[in-house]
Amino acid sequence: MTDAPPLPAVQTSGLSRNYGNFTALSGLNLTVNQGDLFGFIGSNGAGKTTTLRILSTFLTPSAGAAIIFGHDVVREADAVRHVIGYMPDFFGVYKDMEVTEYLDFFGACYRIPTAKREKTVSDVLELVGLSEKKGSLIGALSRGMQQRLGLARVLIHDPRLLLLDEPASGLDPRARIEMMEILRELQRLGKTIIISSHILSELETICNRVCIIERGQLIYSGPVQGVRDQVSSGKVVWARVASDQDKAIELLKTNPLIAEVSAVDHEIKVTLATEQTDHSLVADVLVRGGAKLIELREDEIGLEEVFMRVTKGETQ
Amino acid sequence: MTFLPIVKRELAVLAARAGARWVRIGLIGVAIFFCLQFFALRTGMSPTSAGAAAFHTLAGMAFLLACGATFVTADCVSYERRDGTLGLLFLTDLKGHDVVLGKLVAAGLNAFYALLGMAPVLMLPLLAGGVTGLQVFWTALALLNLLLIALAVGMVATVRATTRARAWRDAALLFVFVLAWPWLPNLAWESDLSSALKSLSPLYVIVNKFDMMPALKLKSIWISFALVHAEAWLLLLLAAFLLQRGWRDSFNLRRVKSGHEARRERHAHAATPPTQRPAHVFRPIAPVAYSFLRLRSQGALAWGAAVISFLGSFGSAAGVMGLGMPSLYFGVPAILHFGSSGLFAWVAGRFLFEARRSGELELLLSTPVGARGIVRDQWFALMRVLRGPLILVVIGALPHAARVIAMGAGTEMIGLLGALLTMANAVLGVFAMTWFGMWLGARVKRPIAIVGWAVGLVDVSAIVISYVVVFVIANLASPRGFTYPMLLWSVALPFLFTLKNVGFIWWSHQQLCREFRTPGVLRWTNWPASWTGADSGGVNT
Repeated sequence: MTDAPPLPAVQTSGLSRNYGNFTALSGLNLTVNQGDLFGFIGSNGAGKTTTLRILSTFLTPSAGAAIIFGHDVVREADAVRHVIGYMPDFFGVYKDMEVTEYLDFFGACYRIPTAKREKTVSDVLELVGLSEKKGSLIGALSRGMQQRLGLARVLIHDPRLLLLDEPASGLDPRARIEMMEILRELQRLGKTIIISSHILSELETICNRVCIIERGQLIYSGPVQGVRDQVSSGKVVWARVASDQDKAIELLKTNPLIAEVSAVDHEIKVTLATEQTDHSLVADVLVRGGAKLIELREDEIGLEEVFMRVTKGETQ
Repeated sequence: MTFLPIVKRELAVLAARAGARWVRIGLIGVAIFFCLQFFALRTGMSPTSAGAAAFHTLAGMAFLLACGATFVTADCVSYERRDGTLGLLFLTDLKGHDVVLGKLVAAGLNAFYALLGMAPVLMLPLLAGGVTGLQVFWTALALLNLLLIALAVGMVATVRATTRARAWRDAALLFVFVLAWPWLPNLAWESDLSSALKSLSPLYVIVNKFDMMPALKLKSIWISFALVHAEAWLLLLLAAFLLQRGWRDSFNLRRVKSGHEARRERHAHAATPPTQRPAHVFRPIAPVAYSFLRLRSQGALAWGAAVISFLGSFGSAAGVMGLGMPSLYFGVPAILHFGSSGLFAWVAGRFLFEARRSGELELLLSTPVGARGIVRDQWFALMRVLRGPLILVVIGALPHAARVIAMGAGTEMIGLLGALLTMANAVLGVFAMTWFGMWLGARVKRPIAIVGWAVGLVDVSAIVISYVVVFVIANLASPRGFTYPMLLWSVALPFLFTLKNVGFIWWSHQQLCREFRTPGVLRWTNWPASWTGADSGGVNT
C-alpha cells in the first residue's frame, strides 16, 4: 500500500480577476507544495499582488478557483484565514501602539487565550529579532523593524502558509539579508512560504521553486534550475590559458560541439552548442591541443537574466 | 463577539494622547465658565432665573457636543481603510459587528465621559433653583439618546468612506437628515400620522423636554425615546452589514482611487477644461496659490465658517435683545463663534500642514518660489477664498454694531466708533485667526492642534480675560462706583480687541517669517508686480 501524495499547500486552477474591462489575472494554474519556499516573480502590474490578495481572501476571483490546504478561498474563507498569514506590501501597522500591544491586539483578535498569548508574543518577537524593542512605539521603529513586526504579526496565530508581498522592499542590505535568514528559519520550521519580490538574486538563493508571471499570465512555474535550463540556449564557459590565446581559440573553433568562441580581454568566452551540457569538453580540447589551461569556469545564468529573457517587459 | 480587543486598543491609544484629556478639560472648563457667569456676575437676575438661564445654556452646549459626537465615529473605520489595517482585522476572527461595536464602545465612552464631566456643572443650576429634577433627568436622557444616534450615524458614514473629508461630509448630511426628516411630512400636511412621525426624530424629546409634561405627553416622549433608540441600533446594524459586505473594497484597485486620480477623472469629465478653472489661473504666476486653491473644499469650509459665525452673531444678538431664548445669551453663540474660528484657522493652516506632511513644502522651498513666495502666495490665495465669507461675517456683526450705537445714546461719537470697531474686529478677528492658523500649520503635528491652539489663544483667552476684568470690577468696585468703571470698560473693550487682533496678526506674521527665515511679506512693496498690475507675471523669487 502506498501513501497518498501530500495535499498541495496551494492549488489554483484558471484563476482570473478582472477590474471592469481590465484583466489583472488570466487563467492562472499554480501548485505550491507543502514546505516550499516559493518565489513569485513578475514585473510591476504583472498580477502578483492580485494573486496574493485572492489567496489571502482579500479579493474574490472573477473566475477559477484557489484551494489552500483543501479549503476554497471563496466558500471557506474563514477556514483559509486560520491557516494563512498575509503580509501586504504596505506595513499595515498601528503606529500609535507599542510593539507588544500590537501583537497582543492581533493575538486577541485571533482569540488566542490570554495565558498563552504572552508567551506567543514573546516567541514571535524573538524569532524575528525584535525582543529588544518590546516596549517601543511602532511609529518610532525603522522601516526594517516595522517589516519584521509585520512578519511577527503574520506568525502570531501560527499559520501553515505565509503569503508575503514584497517583504524585503525598501530594506537596507543588512536588513534584507536578515529578513531572508528569518524566512529560511521559518521554512525549516515547516512553514510553506510564498514570497513575491523584485530582488531576484535573493529569491534565487532561498527559493526552491519559482513562478514567473507577466500580464496576468503564467510563464513558468517550477524549480529555479528548470527555468535556467529552459532559457539557456547554450552554456557559456570562460577559459584562460597561460600563453598563445589565439592558438587556443583556433583549437576550440574546430570542435563541432562548440557554437561560438571569442576573446574578451585576457579570457576566452566559449559558448557550447545547445545539446552540449558538459563543460569539461573545453578543457579536454585545450589540453589535447597543447594549450596550457590555467582557469576554467562556467558562467551560470542568474535568475535576473532568466527573468529578462522570458519576459517581454510588458506591463499592464 | 470579539469586540473587546478593539475597545482596549482604541482606549489605550486615546489614553496615550494628551489632546483627548485637554479637550475634555477644556469642555468642562468652558461649561464651568458659562455657568458661573450667571452667578458670579451681577447680571440683575434672581438666583432662580440665573439658574434656569445657566441650565439652558449648558443644555444647549451639551446638545451641540452630542451632535458633534457624530464626527467622533465618522472617521474611525475609514482611517483603518486608508492605512490598510482594516483588511488585517478581517483576516482575524473579527466580523463586521465586532469592529462596529468595538469602535462604538470606545468612541461612545469618550463622548460619554465628556458629557459626564458636565454633569456636576449641570447640578449647580438645580441647586440654585429655576429648574426641576425632572427636567434635568429628561435632558440627560435625551442627550444620551442623541449621543447614541449621533455615534451610530457617524458609524454608517465611516464604513463606506475612504477619505476623512468624505466621511465627515456624509456623517453631517446623514445626521441632519436623521434629525429633520420626521418633521418634513408635518410641514406639508398636518395629520395624526405626520405628527406621530415627528417622534422618530431625536429632536422631539429635546424640544418637548422643557414642557410641563402631562401624562399623555410623557407617554409620547417615552415612545419617541424608545423609537429613536431603536433607530440608533438599526443604524448600527446597517453599519455592521455594510462593513462586512464592503471591507474588501479597499483592496479593489479599480474602485478606490486616490484623491489625485479622482480629481483628474473629474476634470476629464467636466465641461470646463482644467486649465480654465479658477485655481489654474494662478499656476503660471503663483504656484503656491494654485496649490492652496487645489486643496479640496477650501471654499466650502470658509463659507461654512462664515455661516456658523453669522448664526452665532445672530443668536448672540437675539439673546441679548431678549427674544426669550435663554440658551442664546452666551453659551451657544460662543460655541458657534469658536467653531467658526476653528474652521477659519484650519482653512488657513491646512496647506502648510499638509504640504509639510507630504514633503511638498521641502520641494517648494527648494524652488525659486522660496519661503517668501510661499507665505505671500498663500496669503493671497487665502484672501481670494475668504473675500465672500468675510462679507457674511460682517453682515453677522451688524446687529452687534447697532446695539453698540444704541448703548452709546448721549455719547454718539463713542457709540459710532465702538460700532465701527466692532465691524472691524469681525474682519480682523478672522485675519488674526488665519495668520495664527498659518503659523500653526507650519509647526504642529496634528490637525486638531491648529484648531485647538488658534481658538484657545486668539479667542478663548481674550474672552476669559475680559470676563475676569468684569468679574473684578463687579465684585471689587463699591456699589456706587460700579457704573463708571464698567462703562469705561465697555468703551475700551472694542479697542482692546482690535489691539489683540492686530497683535496676533503681526506676531504670527513675524513667527512665520522667522520659521522660514525670510523677511516680512506684509508690505505692499514685496508683492509681485503681477498682482499689483505692473507686470505680466513670473515666478516670485
